[in-house]
Amino acid sequence: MALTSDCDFYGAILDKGINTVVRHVMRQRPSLFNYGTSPVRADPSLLCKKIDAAPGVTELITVLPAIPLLPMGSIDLGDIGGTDVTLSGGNLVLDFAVQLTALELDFHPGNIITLPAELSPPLQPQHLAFRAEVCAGLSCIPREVLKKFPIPRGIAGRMTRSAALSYLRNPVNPAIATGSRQMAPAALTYTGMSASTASLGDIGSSRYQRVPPIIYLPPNRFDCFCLDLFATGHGSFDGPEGNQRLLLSLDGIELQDLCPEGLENGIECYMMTLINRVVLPPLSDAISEIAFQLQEIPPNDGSLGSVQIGASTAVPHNPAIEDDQLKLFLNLEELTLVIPPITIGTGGGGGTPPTRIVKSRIQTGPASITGAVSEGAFRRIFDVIRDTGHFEIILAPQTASLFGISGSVSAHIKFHLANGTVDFQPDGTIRISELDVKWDLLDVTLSFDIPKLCFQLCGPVPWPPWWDCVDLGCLFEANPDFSFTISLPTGFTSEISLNAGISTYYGLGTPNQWLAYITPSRVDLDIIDIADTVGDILDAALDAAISALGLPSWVSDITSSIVDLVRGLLDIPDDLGEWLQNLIFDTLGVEVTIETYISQWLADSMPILALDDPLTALPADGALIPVRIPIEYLGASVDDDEITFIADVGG
Amino acid sequence: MKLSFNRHILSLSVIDSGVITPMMAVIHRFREPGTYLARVLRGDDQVAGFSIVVDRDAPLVPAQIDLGDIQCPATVVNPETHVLFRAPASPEGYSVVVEQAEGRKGQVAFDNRKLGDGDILMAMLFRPGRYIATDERGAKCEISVALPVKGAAKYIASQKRGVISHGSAISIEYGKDGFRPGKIEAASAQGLMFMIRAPARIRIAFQEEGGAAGRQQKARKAAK
Repeated sequence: MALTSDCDFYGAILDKGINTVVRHVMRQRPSLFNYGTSPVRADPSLLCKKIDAAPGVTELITVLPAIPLLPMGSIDLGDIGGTDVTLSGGNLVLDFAVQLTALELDFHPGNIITLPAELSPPLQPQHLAFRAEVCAGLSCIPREVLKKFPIPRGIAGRMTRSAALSYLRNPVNPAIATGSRQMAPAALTYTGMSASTASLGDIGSSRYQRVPPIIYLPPNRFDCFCLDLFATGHGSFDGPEGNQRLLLSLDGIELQDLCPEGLENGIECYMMTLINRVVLPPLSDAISEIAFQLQEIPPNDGSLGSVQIGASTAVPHNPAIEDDQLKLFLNLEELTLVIPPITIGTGGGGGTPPTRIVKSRIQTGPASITGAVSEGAFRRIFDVIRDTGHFEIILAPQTASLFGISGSVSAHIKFHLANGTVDFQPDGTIRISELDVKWDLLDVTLSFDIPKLCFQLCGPVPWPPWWDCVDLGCLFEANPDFSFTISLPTGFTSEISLNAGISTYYGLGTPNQWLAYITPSRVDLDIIDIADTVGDILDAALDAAISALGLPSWVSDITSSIVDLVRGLLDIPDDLGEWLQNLIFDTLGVEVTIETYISQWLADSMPILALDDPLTALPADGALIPVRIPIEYLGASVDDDEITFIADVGG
Repeated sequence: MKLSFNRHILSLSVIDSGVITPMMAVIHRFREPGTYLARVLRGDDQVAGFSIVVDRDAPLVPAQIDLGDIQCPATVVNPETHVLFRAPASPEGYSVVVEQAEGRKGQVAFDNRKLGDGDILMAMLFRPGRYIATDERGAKCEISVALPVKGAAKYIASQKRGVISHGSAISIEYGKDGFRPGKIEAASAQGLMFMIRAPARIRIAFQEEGGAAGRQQKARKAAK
């Protein structure tokens, strides 16, 4: 059964592939998986598990507010002059760190993750399993340290700035003043309350103003624990049609080995919220970014219009989670193209194609990503390009030696397309048949360097008796001597047919790209028989040219003789039109050149899929570097139903 | 359409032995060995110059000098043969005056504006019609040029060029008594060789369509 039997586009990502993507995201955007308070950010060694971050990552964690123990008001004492200690206000808090490590997904049927009994294994159809190791740590100030810190005995709930300065400049523990790593880290938090300087609400201050001020020391270690977190979930499409994205979300969650039940439930609730609202959305975006790359068929750089893709409703489950894959069934809802004139040949053609190399697939088994385009969708795209595209071919002068005469032919051609059929063939090719080429402009310029035609006088000379021949003058001394542009009548239609396969290459450039091209094996262009009309055109053009020369009237009597001479030199038969047609399209190869240009344009300048390597899954965001996923392989094939692309995510 | 060719040839209506243009040439034999200086004139202005060395030891090969494209500063020629002056690509025309550089220095040995005994004027008429050749004294020769004939143009593959030629040239004697014969019929592009026996400047001028060409045209129209 074809992948696209109920949709236009098909995209699927294998759970192993998504886990590879997750690992890339965890290394390049660890702040999505690691949370903690400011001191943790300043000292990542406090984390329970060391983060394996990619080079260039500076933001290891997402900073969260510390856990308030008592919601007190605060004062901000600012920098203390003469010391390297900062007193900053805040509630009495506990620092912490929470990490999700070893995160994995398993699409139905579950064969990567063994679910705990609480989640009612086996994994239900159309569901995914989720496993992560959750590690958390809370700060704890050692008792022996606390003992060395007397609680200032000022007015309860109040410490003046002078008292604080006095205390800090005459510390009980000298380590504070010296900034010792153990006892006096860079940030020293003083939490207190002053009736006159309260910065939090009066409600708080009135309720807690009698609590004595406490000196809080930042943590030098966390007490860590790790739990296995299991979850099940499902996928859905989120967002309006045309701007949809995949959204993975959890339905059930289970933290292993945590008691009592209330604590477990509370943490599970917290983790559910954290994962559903914080972790999974960007992960879903990364998957969507890859899956919706299908919108790049044809390449859409914004100037070519818009392609709107929506979820198909013709399948029972969309997205479907089955066969170890997350499958997306998409339809081409709208395709609007604004195609600028496509210039083929020396006048354009998209510039020099990148250096391309062929890479073989390294991995085996199912691909990380599978995409498919139905024959129907391809036809729709083809139809839109056909109906909106205008093509221009500038044929560079083709030089040729013709009967000893050097000549050249160039052409300026414009055409658009109509009709035609597209069929995917079981032999792995795409057949485009009977595509009408409607000629809008067909100017052919012929130039000839006609050999000199010299008036030669031969006669006897007496000294000594000599038979001498001398040139007294020559016609056609310029180069070219004879050039003319024939505007062939454009009210006719030609047919073009081509057979093409799909080829993928790895293009070296900035960035490197995986490229898929239609590669024609044969292009046939049938120019209609123009012989009947072109002869008259040339005769008329010759007459006009001779008239324009302004020669005396008697010349017209011998014009035919000159033309006869030229025709003789060029071996032009009586049927001038047929000769010209053969000359233009066969001898000088205009027809072949047009076919070649079309082939080269398709094979070199018109990729039907371009996939950056690495592919940017999440853009840079402030200090966060972009998340880039290496694409190890792209392959493409055609059968009589669809074009299928496969891609492997690199490790 | 751009058709570029030497249209002067087609519209040529006057050939003057005193102004060397396409479709004509003059021949002179320098009998006396020595060195000569040649001045090429356009009107009265000298535009080029060269030497002619007449040497008995030189090969017995005629010399052809294109006055519009002087390639060598000196041309060596045997006194037993001739020098041909032409200007096939210069419709504006040139005159050439050759003076002795030794002995009777400055004495004019040849001036095409006044041909002398032994000189030859070569001319070719392509335009069909009736022409009159005259000298400065009023002698005349009527020349009737027929329409071009098919086959006059031939492609010479080895030379990668074509030639238009019509058999052998017609020889016309010019002497004190004028032209002999006084009336000739020529084919288009047939050579005319005026063998000069008395000093002269000969001018061939187109008169009118007609003559052999006119009869041919009438015959063609009647045939149609």
